[in-house]
Amino acid sequence: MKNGKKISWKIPALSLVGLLLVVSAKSTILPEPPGGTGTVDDRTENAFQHPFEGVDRDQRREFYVGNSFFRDAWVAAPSSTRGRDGLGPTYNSISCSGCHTLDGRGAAFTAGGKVDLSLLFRLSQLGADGKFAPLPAYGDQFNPIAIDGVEPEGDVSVDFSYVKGTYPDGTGYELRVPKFTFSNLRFGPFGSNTRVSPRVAPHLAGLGLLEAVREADVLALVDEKDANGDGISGRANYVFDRTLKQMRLGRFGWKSNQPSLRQQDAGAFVGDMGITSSVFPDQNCPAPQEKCKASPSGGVGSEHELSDQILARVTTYTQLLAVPNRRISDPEKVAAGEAKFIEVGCAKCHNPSFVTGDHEIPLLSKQKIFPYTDLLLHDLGRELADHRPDGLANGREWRTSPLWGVGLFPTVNRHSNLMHDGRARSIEEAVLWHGGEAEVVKHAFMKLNKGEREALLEFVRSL
Amino acid sequence: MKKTLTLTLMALIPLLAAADAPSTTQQAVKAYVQAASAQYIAAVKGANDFQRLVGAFLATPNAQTLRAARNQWIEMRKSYSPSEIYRFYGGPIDGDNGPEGMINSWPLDEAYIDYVVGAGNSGLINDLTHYPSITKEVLRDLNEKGGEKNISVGYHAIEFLLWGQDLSSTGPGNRLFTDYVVGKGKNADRRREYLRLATQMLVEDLSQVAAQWDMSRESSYANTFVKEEQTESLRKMLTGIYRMAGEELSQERMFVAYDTQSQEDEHSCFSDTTHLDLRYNFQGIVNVLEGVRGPGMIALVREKDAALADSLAAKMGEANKRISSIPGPFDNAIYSEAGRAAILASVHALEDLALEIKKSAAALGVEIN
Repeated sequence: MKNGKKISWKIPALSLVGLLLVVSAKSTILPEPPGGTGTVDDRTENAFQHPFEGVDRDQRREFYVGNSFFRDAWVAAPSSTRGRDGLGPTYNSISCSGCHTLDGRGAAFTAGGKVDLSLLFRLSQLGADGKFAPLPAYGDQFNPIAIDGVEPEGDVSVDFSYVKGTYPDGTGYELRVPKFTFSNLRFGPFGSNTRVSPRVAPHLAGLGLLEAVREADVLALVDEKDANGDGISGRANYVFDRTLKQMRLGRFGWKSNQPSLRQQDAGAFVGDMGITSSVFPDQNCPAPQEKCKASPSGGVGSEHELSDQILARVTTYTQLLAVPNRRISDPEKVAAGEAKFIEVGCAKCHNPSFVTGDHEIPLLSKQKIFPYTDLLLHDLGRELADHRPDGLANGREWRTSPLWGVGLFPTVNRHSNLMHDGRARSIEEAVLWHGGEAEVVKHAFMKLNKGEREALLEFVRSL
Repeated sequence: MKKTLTLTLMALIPLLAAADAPSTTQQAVKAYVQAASAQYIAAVKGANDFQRLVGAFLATPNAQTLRAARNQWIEMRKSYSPSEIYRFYGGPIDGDNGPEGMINSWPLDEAYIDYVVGAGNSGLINDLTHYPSITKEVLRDLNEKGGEKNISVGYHAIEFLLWGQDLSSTGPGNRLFTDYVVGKGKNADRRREYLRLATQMLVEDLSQVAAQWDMSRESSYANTFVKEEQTESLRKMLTGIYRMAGEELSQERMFVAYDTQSQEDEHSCFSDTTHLDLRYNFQGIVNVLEGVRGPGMIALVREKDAALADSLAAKMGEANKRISSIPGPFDNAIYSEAGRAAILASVHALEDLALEIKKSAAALGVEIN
C-alpha cells in the first residue's frame, strides 16, 4: 500500500489484515483496500487519525499543523495565543475534536441519556413569503454554550420513546425515537414556524477522496424521475461556493450542503465554535444578542480569527485523513453478506466504488475507492424527516452516508449510534429506520432469514 | 570479547536468540516501569517543593519570593517533561479519566482565569457574581466539562498566575507581586486562593499518576503492565516514543510554531521556557531508548539486528544534537534565520528517528501506528 512514485514517509509495514486474509480466505478474492493506496492498517481506537499512506514529508507536516488546530482547544479573545483565540462568543464546542473525537463520530447522547455536545441543531423559520430563513434571534444554529460574560442561547434536552416491531420470521426489534425539548431560551421562544434539524458530528475518514470524486461520476448516478423504475431517485444538491462565487455540486454534510472541504471546515469553525474566517467573516451574533456583539474579536490586525493559512492547513488535514483497512475475520460470512447487500438493493444508494478524478493533492487522484455512498440526496421517509430544506434538499431528503469505517465506531468512539441524530443504536437499527425511497429495500432486508441478515450486517461492520 | 562471541552465537543460532530474548524483554519492561515510576516521583517532589515556595510567596509576597516560586516552576517542569514519554497509549496519565488535561492543558484560556490586556475584569478571579468563592470544588467542576469549557488549572494556568501575559518580545511575562498583596492587587485575595488551590490540585493529580506506576501496589497499572503479553508492553513503549518523536515533539510542538510563526504558539509562553520543554521531552525519548534502570529499546533491537540498533542510536544522537542547538527563547527562534534552521533540522531529525523506531518495532515483531 505504497505510492509507487513518491517516496513514502512511512515505511512499508507488515499488513496484518492482509496476512489474515491470505491465510484464512482460500477461495475468496482478497477485497481491495477501501481507501486506495492511502489505506492504513490500524484497527485500534487510533484508526481514524492517520495521514494518507505514502504522503511526503512536507504534506505530512502540514497535516499535523492542521491536526493541531483541529484537536486543540480554541480560547476566548484576547489571549497570548493569538493564533488560537476567538472562541465563541457562543458556540457548541471549544475544539473540532470535542465532537469529532479521535476523528471519529459523535455519540449524540451521553451515557446518562442527555444531549451530547456532538449533536447540533440547525434552525430555520418559514416566512410569510414561503421562504426559509435563519431565526432572527438565534441565527441558523443553536449555540448552547458561551464564553464568560456572554449569555448562552439556552438548553436542550431529549426524551426517548420506544417503538416495537417484528421481522417476518417472528424476531422482534425495538427502535428508539428521540424527542428534543428546548428550554431557558434567553432570547425568547423559537416561534411556531421554526424548523429544527438535529445533526451529529460524522467521522472524517477519506473525505479528501470523496472531494476527488469526479462530478460527472456522481451525476451519472442521478435518477431524479426514477427513469429505471427501481423506486430510487437520487438527486444532486447544488450549493453556493463562497470562494468561487458560483453554484456547485454539494458533497459534504448531512444534506450534501457544502461543495468543498475548505468551505465545510470554515462553516464548522464559525457555526460550531464561533471562529470567523475569510470564507465566513461574520460573527454569529443575531440582533438581540448584545453581549455577544460586544465581545472582542480574536483576529490579529486585518486577519480573521481563523487565518487563511490555518484554514488551508486544517483543510489539508481533513483531505489527507486516511481510510482504515477492512477487518474481516470470517471471509465466507462477509462474502455472503456482501451478496445480500447488493441483492436487496442497499448498493443502489450506498454505491460501492468510484475511481477518483484529479485533485489538488495529486496523491488523492486516480484512486480506486470503496466509500459506499453516491453523495446524492434521497427521500428517507417521514419518520426521519426534519422538514427543513437545505439548498435543493427538501425536508425528507438526506445524503447517503459513506459506510467505510462504520464498524470501527464502537472501538474508536465507544458507541454504535447512527443516523443524523444518533437515534439508531446499531447498524441493524439504522437499516430499520430507512423509509421513503429505501422502504422497499428495507422490506427486502427484513424478509431475509436471520443468518442472512446477520451476514449482511457483518459485511457492513467489516467496511 | 565475550560480548562479540555471544552476538555471533545468537546470529548463528536463531533458536537460542529466541529463547534468550524473553528474559531481556522482561528486564526491559520492568526497567521501563521503574523508570516511569521514578520520573513521576520526581515530578511529585518538584511540585511539592514548588508548593512550599508558593506558600512562602503568599505568606510574604515580594519580588524575591515571587522569583523563587518562578524558578522552582521552571525546575519542576524539568522533571515533568521527560514523563510525557509515558503518554499516547492510554496509560495512567492519558487513559480513561487520566488527568493529563488537568495537568498540562494547552493552549490556555487566560481570560477565563484572570484579567488580560483588553479585558481588565475578565476571568473567574474577577467574577464575584458567578463564582462568589474560589474553591477546589468550583475549579474541579468547571474543568470537568470536557469540550464545553476550557481547562483552567495545571502547569500553564499556574505559569500564567506567576508570570502574567508575555507582552515582551525579548523576555517573559512580568506580573507584579502586588497582584498578590491584599489591598493592592485587584481581587488579590481570590488570586491568592486560586494559585494556592491550582498548586494543590497539581500535586494531587501528579500523585495519583505516580501511584498508578508504583509496582509495590498490587492493583496498580504498573503491575498490569509488567504482567501482560510482552508484545503489548512493547507496543506501548514503542508507541510512546514513536508518537513523541514523529508527531507530538516534531510536529505539534515545533513545526506548528515554525510554520505559523505565531509568537506565542509555544507551550510555556508566559515564562519563555519552551526550549527547555523541548529538551526535556526529548530526554524522555532518550530514557526509553537507552534505558535508565536496565536494558532499553536499543539493547532489545540489538538482539535482533545490530545494524538497526546502531542506526537507531545514531538517529537519536543526531536529534539530540539538533534540539540542543535551538536557541532560547523559542518565540525568538521561530523568527531568526539561525533559529528557524535549527528548528527545521530538529524536526527532520526527529522524523528520521521516528522512522527508525517504526523499523525497530517491526524487527521486534510489534506493529505500531
